[in-house]
Amino acid sequence: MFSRNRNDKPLDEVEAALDDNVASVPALGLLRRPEPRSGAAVNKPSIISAGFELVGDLVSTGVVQVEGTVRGNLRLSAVTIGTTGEVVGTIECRTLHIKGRFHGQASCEELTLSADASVEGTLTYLQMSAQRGARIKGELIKSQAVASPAPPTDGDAMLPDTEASLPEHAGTKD
Amino acid sequence: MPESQQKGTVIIGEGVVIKGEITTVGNALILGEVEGEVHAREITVGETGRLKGRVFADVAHVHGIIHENLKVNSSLLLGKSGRIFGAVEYAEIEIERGGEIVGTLSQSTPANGTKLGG
Repeated sequence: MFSRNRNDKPLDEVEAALDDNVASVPALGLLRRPEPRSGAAVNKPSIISAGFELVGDLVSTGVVQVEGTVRGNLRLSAVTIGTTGEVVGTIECRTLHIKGRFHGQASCEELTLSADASVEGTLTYLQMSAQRGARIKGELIKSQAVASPAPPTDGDAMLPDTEASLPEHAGTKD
Repeated sequence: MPESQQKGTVIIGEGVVIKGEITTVGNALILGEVEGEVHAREITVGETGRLKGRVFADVAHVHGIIHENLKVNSSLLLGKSGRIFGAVEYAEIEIERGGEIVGTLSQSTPANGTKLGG
């Protein structure tokens, strides 16, 4: 076990190996941080990794990082669309950081567009910034009041039906 | 500033109100209020600047307020105090945190290669 060169292995394998060996190798045990016990307050993002395609809705108070593709509605605290990520649908969140592609409707308080971002649709924001090179096509709306991720008037119709609300010609490539 | 850079430069000072059309091959610095149409190679709207109408430029720096229509052939910088209401067409855009655009955005093909204005 110890003769194997761990540097050649992908991270998750190393992590698994660590799990196996933590008891027997005290020095490695020090590397592992104690797990946070505070339930919902955990800020670890959920990751939709590259090559992964999710069709459906995501609802959470947590943080999601999209490196793959999501078709559906996201209602979260924070969303990051990574450089390889693509979201087609609607996003409602507090903090939205787009580095990849987005097509649809987004409503957030803090909107950040990186240089590689490509956005088509309607963006509602309270405060925004865009790095030079970001591509935005569509409508920008400054929300008047402090945007609340859960508007009280919406009631049961919190999330629009996925099928009905998805924009046409979904997979817009460059 | 050197004389060569002053050629075609127009400055609308703070407190000045203009209605009409401004066309210049050079730079326009708007610190006052302009209502109408502005054509310039480079336009800078200062924090006190207010522009209402149609604006055409190669390069635009917006720190004040523009209403209605802005077409930028090359580079648009929206500063943290800048506000744009209306239709914006740009090739390249940068928005500082705090800058606001309310309206529609569309991207034209970036003016590649040629350095604007020589």
